[in-house]
Amino acid sequence: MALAGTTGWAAEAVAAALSFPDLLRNHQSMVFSIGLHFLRDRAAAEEIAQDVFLELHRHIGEIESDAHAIFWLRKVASRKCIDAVRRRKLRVAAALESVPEPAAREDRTDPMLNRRLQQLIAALPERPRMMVLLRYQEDLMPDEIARILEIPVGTVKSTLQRALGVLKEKLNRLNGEGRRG
Amino acid sequence: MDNLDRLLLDRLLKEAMRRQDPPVGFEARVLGMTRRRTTSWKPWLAIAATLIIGGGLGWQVDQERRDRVQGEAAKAKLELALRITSAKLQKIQKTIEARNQGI
Repeated sequence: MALAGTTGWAAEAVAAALSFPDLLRNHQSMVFSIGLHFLRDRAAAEEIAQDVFLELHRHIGEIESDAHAIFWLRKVASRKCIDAVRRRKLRVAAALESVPEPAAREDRTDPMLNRRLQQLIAALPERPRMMVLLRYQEDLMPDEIARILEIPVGTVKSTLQRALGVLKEKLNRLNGEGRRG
Repeated sequence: MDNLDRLLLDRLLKEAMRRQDPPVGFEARVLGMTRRRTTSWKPWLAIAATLIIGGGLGWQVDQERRDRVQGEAAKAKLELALRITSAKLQKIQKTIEARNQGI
């Protein structure tokens, strides 16, 4: 484990904090949710999360801190999700424009609204979908998303802007139709 | 939600993207897999270690045997040389004694 400059009790504390079972326990929801929100398939999300943690177990010696572990897990989970969709064509929804629109509800915490919003997000292409997921599930800023996805921060900002514009337009359309209905 | 503003959209997205726990038993299953993976290579490691140590010991024993054989051969050659030298010296001594008695 790379603990350069850390000695004695401090090294022991860092090593203890980085034990694999603890990392698994503390971050399993994060990794599973990345898969779930991206793929909208619980079994596939579990499989992805399992692969991510098995890979972490193989690379545990390279992890330097809890923050590094979180960054590593987000990065590997994002890559595996995008690869899975591209490889197995797991895209649940078709193109964004063809998604059927539900009746609108005013209640913000309405599970139906959440579900429809998740469907709209799932209909985005892989990269914008992952950006929206990392922005809102993980509450990351564009520069952090850029580092995880290894793309320029300007690309993240413009893509997020476009994706949010599409989602906003769709939701406004839902609302309009809901009121007419 | 007419003219849906950005703050409302942010709230809706955060709500829709809330983290969820994996299925019950996920943690135990992953830990089980890592244990199997960790233990699966241990017998091979033990076999490899046994072969390396056993091979090393065998080589050492063989080397000692060769050294001993070489040592014994050298000793036998030296004894033979000493015997030959001793016999020649005795012969020379007898010749000298015979010559002295003749004078």
